[in-house]
Amino acid sequence: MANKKISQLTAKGTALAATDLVEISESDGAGGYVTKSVTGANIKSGLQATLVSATNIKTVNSTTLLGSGDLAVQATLVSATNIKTINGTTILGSGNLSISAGQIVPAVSNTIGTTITGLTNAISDSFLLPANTFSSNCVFELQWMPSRIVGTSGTTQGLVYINSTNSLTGATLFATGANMTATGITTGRFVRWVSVRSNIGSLPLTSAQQSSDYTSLLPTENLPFDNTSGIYFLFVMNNTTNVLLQSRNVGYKLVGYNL
Amino acid sequence: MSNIKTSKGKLTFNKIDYVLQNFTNDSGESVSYALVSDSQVHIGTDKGIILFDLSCTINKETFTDINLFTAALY
Repeated sequence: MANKKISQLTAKGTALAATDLVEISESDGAGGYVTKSVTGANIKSGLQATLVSATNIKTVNSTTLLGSGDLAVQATLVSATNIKTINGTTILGSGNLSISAGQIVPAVSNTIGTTITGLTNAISDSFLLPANTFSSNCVFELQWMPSRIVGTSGTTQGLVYINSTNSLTGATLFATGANMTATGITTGRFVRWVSVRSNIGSLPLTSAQQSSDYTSLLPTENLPFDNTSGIYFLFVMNNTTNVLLQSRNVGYKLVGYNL
Repeated sequence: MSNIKTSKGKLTFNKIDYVLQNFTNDSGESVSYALVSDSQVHIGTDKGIILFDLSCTINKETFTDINLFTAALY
């Protein structure tokens, strides 16, 4: 072997055996080297074991990491770029995001209701409260704004009904606004506050002409209110005693809490 | 056309049973019904005040007068 380049040696032609010897130069730590031998077993003991998925290398959601190619991962989240904000505020970061009290606002009008003309009681506006918006125990407040827009005499009322369809036939009276008798354009805001327990709503008289529920003088009514199905709120204008009367509902808002 | 079925102080509409009972009207009086228009009436029931109109039949009979319609409910 003397005076032979390593490329001139006879090739072993098989894998390194545990008993094979390999010549090495071991550092003496002082800049010199000492010629020594190591066995094939010495060399193999220093190598990483063959990777076996789920044995000595973890998986990602039960999928192996072994193999070639790129592993698809989610891009780094950048607020307002690939993750939305809430009212312009980032939701990235640690800690809790506090949401105030579970308030639900399922309906706010964005148009003016249909004008109702003459001696009639007809729907001016409506909205559908989708099924399961409210639980069987909830509280909510409905505000609505009927408006008398034409007529020099007679009375206008803005009433609210609830029904399973967008129709007055078979609808249940939910609230009665006060009489509006002033000539010219008159608009009122009325409030119905309801406490629902086991799908039964407690509220003051539906037929009484009240501009709010604040009075303590009205007896309590128990009204079925089961939101496991959709409920239509119907805003109805009732013109009386003057065929020339015109009125319409100009706004509404429903706000509630599940308990 | 929806039908109202009547039966001794009760009526059935859209598969819902209603027990007829009085309610307090705008004047504070206890009444069993209140006419709303020439074609509509408020009927007091155990499930609240229900609006019915002449588009409904009563026991399959058609009405054109709201007073006769209301009388047929009781």
